[in-house]
Amino acid sequence: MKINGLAIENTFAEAFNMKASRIIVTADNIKWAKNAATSFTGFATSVIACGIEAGIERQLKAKETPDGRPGFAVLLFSMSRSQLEKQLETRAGQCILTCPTTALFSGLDGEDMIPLGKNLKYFGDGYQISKRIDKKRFWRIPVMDGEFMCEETTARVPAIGGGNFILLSKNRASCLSACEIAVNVMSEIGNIITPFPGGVVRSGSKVGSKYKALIASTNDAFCPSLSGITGSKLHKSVNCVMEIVINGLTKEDIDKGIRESLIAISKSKYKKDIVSVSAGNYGGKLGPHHFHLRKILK
Amino acid sequence: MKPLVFKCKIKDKQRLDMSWLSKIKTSSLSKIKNLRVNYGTKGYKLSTLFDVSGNNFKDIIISNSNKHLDNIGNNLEDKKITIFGNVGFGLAKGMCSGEIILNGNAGKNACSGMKGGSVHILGNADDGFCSLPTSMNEGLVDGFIYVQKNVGDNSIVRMRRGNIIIGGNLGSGSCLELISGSVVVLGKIGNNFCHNARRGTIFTRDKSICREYIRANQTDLTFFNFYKIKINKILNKSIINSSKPVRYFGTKSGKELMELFVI
Repeated sequence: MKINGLAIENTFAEAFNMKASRIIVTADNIKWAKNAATSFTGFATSVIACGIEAGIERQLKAKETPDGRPGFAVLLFSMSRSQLEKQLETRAGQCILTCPTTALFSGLDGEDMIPLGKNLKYFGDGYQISKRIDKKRFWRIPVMDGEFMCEETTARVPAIGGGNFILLSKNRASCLSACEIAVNVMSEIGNIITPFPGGVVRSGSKVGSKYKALIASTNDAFCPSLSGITGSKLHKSVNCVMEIVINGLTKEDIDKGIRESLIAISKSKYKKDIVSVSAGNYGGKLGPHHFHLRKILK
Repeated sequence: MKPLVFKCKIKDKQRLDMSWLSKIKTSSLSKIKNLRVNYGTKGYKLSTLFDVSGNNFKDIIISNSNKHLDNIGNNLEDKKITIFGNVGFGLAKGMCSGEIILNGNAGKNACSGMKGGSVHILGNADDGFCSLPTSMNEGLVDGFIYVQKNVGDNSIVRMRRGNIIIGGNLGSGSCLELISGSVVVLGKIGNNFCHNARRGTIFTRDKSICREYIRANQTDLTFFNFYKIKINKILNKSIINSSKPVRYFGTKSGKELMELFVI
């Protein structure tokens, strides 16, 4: 199958059930809101070692935020509730409470609530002030630049993590440029994030390793430098492979992300260097969600 | 579905306890019409006191209301009541959730012991508004209340939390023993305001009450803008306009952590 000349392999991405939450970080200006949001989402690329996967979903205009200041919507994904709670509180306490002029709000409504500022309030040492408005509780914690305001809880919702596609390219420059186009397109789509640095992964992994201590190791079948000596899945013309991992609140959101980004790549000048588009899976036995590339693009 | 409409037919000056309104659980209009209600010294069918129509039992309209109808919205849960005309005492007393919109004036002790929900009084509220019910330690436990015009004396006693927005003046002896919560008063405030108050936030334009409070450093507070946006959005009009309020925090006479914004 080809889309505007871009070859799409007959394969699928395999994704997993996760728990997600959304927070809204605001500040006096976009610079400080970004400082807080990027700090919060730092070291949050994979649940394998970071606890959560997090990323900036989109920038918010002043009129879209609860306190009328510019900000960012951030999505967090985790495999378990306890890990999500722990990481959310730790990161909020160290990265947002500490950042000048910021405030923190919930970005989701739901039945299943997890603490946001519920325990951070104790930083106020008794001078914290509670305000309950519109069935929601907020905390005002006195700090040196005035006060840190945060919502008491945020909602936790079911989500999907690990949607992906893999670009097989003739050269690294084109591969990276095509990935950048895809990440830019997805940054405009709500409810999804690409948690890896710049949204792109170059170290795709397979399950297991020859070393017993490791649960994952390099995906040798997609390493161009190993073609010829391993069971390589790469054509001889492929010299660079990069993967984009997508986490989203629903399957439809991830579908949309994959579809629109692949269409954007197919319309770009870099498509001539893209040999084909593939996807990462484990044979379909591990993850309940399958994203068949050709079905999505039909 | 059409709202359940009660058109009041009463012309006598006897009072009618409307507590039954919050307890309506039946799904049949004829059963509602046949409800027995005490009025004066006798019991009457509801249909003799009201013209009843409609089929949405969660959305109730009282038309032609007057100041003899007491306890409307008493312990209300998950219903919307819209009233056209004045009401007697005890409006929204002990209300837990739902919404009441009153297009008229409220009698004494409105919103007393309210625990949740929202009340919009598009007129005046008489004395004892948000007062302490006999069986409770707190006057307003939670909820959102908007009074478009003036509020009488001895109002808002031992308020625990919630939000009260008063478009007009507030009578004397109000906000007694305030525990917490937020009160916005756009008009004048009477004597003896916030006596024995412990915490809570007041937004006012009446500078005369500020002399008892300690003027705080004028730091930028996220809360003020946030609250302004929230309140203006809930009421869909500009209630708080100020962008640089003067903040007072704590009283000169004691250790109370009262907060006051002059807007």
